[in-house]
Amino acid sequence: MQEPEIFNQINLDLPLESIYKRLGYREGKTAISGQRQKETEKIINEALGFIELKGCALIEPVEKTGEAVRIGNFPITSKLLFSLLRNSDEILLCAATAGEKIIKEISGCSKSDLTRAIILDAVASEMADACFEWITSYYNRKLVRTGRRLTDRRISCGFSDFAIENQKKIYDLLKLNKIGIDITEQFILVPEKSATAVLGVIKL
Amino acid sequence: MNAKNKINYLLKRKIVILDGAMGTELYKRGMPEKAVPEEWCLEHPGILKEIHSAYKNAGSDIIYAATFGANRIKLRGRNIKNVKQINRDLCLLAKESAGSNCLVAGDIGGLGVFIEPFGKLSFEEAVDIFKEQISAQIDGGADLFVIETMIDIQEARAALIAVKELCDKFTIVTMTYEAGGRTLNGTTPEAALITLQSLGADCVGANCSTGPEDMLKIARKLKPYATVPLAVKPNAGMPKLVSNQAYFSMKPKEFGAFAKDFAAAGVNMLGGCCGTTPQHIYEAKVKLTGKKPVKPFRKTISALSSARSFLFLENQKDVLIAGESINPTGRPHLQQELKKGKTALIGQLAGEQKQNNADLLDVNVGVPEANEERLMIDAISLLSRLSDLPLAIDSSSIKVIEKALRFYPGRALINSISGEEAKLKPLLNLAKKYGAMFIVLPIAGRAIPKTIAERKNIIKNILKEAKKTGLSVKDLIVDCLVLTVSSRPTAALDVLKTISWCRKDLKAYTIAGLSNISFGLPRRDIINTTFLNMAKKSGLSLAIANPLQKKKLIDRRAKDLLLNKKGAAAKFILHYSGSADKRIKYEPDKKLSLEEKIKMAVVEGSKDSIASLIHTALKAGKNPLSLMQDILVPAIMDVGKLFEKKEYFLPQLIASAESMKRGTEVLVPFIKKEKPEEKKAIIILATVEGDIHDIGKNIVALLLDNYGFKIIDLGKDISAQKIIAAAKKHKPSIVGLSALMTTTMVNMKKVIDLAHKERLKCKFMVGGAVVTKSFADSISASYAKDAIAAVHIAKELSVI
Repeated sequence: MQEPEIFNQINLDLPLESIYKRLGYREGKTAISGQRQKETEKIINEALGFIELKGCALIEPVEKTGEAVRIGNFPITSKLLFSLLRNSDEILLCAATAGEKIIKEISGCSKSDLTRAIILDAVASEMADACFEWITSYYNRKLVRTGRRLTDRRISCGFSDFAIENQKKIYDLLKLNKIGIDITEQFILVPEKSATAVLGVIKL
Repeated sequence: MNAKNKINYLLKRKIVILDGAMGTELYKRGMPEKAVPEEWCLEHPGILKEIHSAYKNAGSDIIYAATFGANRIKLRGRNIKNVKQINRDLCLLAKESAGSNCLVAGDIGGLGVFIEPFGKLSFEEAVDIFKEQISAQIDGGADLFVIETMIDIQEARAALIAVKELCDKFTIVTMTYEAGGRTLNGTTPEAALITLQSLGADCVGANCSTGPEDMLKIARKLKPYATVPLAVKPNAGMPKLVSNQAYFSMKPKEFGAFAKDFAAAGVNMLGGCCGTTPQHIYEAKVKLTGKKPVKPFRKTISALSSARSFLFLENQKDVLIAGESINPTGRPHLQQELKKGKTALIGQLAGEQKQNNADLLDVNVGVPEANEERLMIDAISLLSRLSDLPLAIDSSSIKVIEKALRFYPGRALINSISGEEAKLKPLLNLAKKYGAMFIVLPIAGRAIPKTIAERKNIIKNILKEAKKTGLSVKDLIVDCLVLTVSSRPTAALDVLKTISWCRKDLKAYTIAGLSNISFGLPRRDIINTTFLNMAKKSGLSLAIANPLQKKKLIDRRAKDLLLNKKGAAAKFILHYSGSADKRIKYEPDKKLSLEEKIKMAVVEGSKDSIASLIHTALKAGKNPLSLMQDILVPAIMDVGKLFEKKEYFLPQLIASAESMKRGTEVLVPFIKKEKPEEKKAIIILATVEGDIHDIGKNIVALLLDNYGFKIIDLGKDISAQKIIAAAKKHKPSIVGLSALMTTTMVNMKKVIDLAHKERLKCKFMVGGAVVTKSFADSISASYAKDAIAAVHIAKELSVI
């Protein structure tokens, strides 16, 4: 089994539109004063100082039998995963986190200044999410030169029948402790704003 | 004619044809998926030569040796150690196929790891790795170099510096852009172009990003800023997914049809990337036969860049602002941080300046007893990640400037180069080598020049030396040297005249640190702003100033003072002495009544003003209960409605709720005195066991508190037993439970089951990202889709 590739520092453009959308802003409907916008964007900029985007990814061969998929020694039974991998002999496992500092900052102000907390929270969520787009693009760039690419769709544990318990298997394969992520007995990744996803690798 | 001259000759006469894809051609000819292409090519030289020859025969003027991934890092990962031999032999094979009329480019691809400041590999190590590859390709007879498929501008810089430090061969650099128009690391095409052409690339462009249609857009963006020819190598469209199978869809004729558009867009070198074949190249070549190339529109450019963005100095309508806060002079806190080797405060200062519309950031980290070189590199690393603004490297040390320019992932501004002989030539050489712009400081010795004529002479001398080094007037910005009017009455006039002369006679850009002008005088804000606007009228390009001074104020008294009019200084001081240096403050509309102002404070979420407004109202004899019932409660209800109609977004709702809470905290003691406390409905809130996400629950708690409920918030990751124990103790009307994960959502049921077992009468309300109405129904709980819905449900269930 290969070692996962670790991205200790992912640099992303601020997904401002998605952050506003997550906060409930609707183009043409929501009206924000200049002052409120300035304050919001000040906090958004501050969030960037606390967010440490890291990622991790690994391409592994998969064996498929019936509705079960085997990645290395790990068997996973899921119709959803099987369908994702129907034209793939390989899978990309990946994870991303916004880091611990931002979570501490959010929890530090969630009682005293909830407005700030929810904005920080939205920035962290969207940035962590955008990491997956980044990882996907990064691997597509690599794969296209070897006549392969990733499926457009990605899924995560907890979707449909792709059970949340699989999070532990992915956690172990990706050695997520190396990028500062822990997993609880309930299969929750800690710190918050950490997530995993899988995509199929298909041939061109 | 050497290869470089030959390429330049070709570029004047035609659009140079590059080759097409290598990887996809090798797979077609049987290269196994897991093979190392470079190794496989050497094992199958016949196949490699067949592909090279096919491109040559299709019309390629330049073919790329198959050395794309032949660097130490990538080959080490595949257990191959003979990096030099592989590079040399692959170039030799390409040379054999090229014959005499076709040139061979040594091909440099990415290392597969990120380089500092964006990754762990040191910049110098990256340069060394590229040098190893390049020197072997020179041995193999490479006529030119192509650095391609770069996603990281810093990696492209490292490779380009490696080429330039080893030879003077023609070098093409092409970056790869995502669908959003930036590289994966966020660099815009214009920023990459400005950085790379100033660093010495002979041709810049894009490859592999996309199909021809989108790459045309990139070429059109680049042409106005290019001082060098442009190269593009689009894919044969983007791989399409049909029934979960992917393929490159664009046929050769369709690909070739874009060639004329590329020529019209000013592309000077055209080839193909993934999915293209010799037939694609042939079709493009046929369409370009006889087409005249479009030369770069300009020879020089006054522009700066960062790793992500760029700043074009030409045709600016307003004065650009250079943020000056990252400088320890007069900032003891920053001094202390820097002495400890810390740079965290720099990030904060950068954010504040960006917020205040700074256009670039000046970085000075010089403090006694600190390692300035290390601090400068750390600051650049941090700012390159946090900010998209270009940087001015501000140091008196040549060594620090050199390190900074080599490391900075953009086109920097040197602050500054004076006429001081010992430093002038070394600094100009650095500006040339790393393609930096520089600020000219019109000082030649220790003394500041007394006359404008002296200033002009120094500026002219520096420009003369700069031209000798290969730089031009477009690469420099003249510092107009602002002195204080209180000690030198003609100081402002001197600056204004210098600005005019630079703009009109020298055609040079200018910069001025405006705040010096008012030192020692009252109302410095008025003088500075007036001076800024006068300087702007004279043609000032950049100001080192507070961006708030951009407002269009010209104060008559300040203007007279600055123009050194007789008696103006005394009049100004007399008028403004004792007047406070006030900043502009928000003043609520005086037409509003006090009650309306309180209501507005809630509706607008003015957390800081509501308490004082309520105190004022109470002092004016307003009834506290009426303030609560007739003003605060309707105000927050209005906010709730605005949120439901999406006219407010979440931060507005929460800010209003927090204002309401602060207002309530002021009023409650007064209301209690007036009226015995009514029994409030109690609500217990908790995030269930195993779940650590609680921000949604905190929002619900705040809103419910606003609406008069007594909230007992147990926190997050709370077991069913603890929740039930609290319910027994406090006897709430409602227990609200939240969960964000499917795995923890099931614990809501455990709480409700336990409550039934304990025969508790309270009602349950549930919510959270994964919770649905059907799930809530299944556990006999009410479902709150958001905080406002929770308020409605709480009202219904508790009937208050």
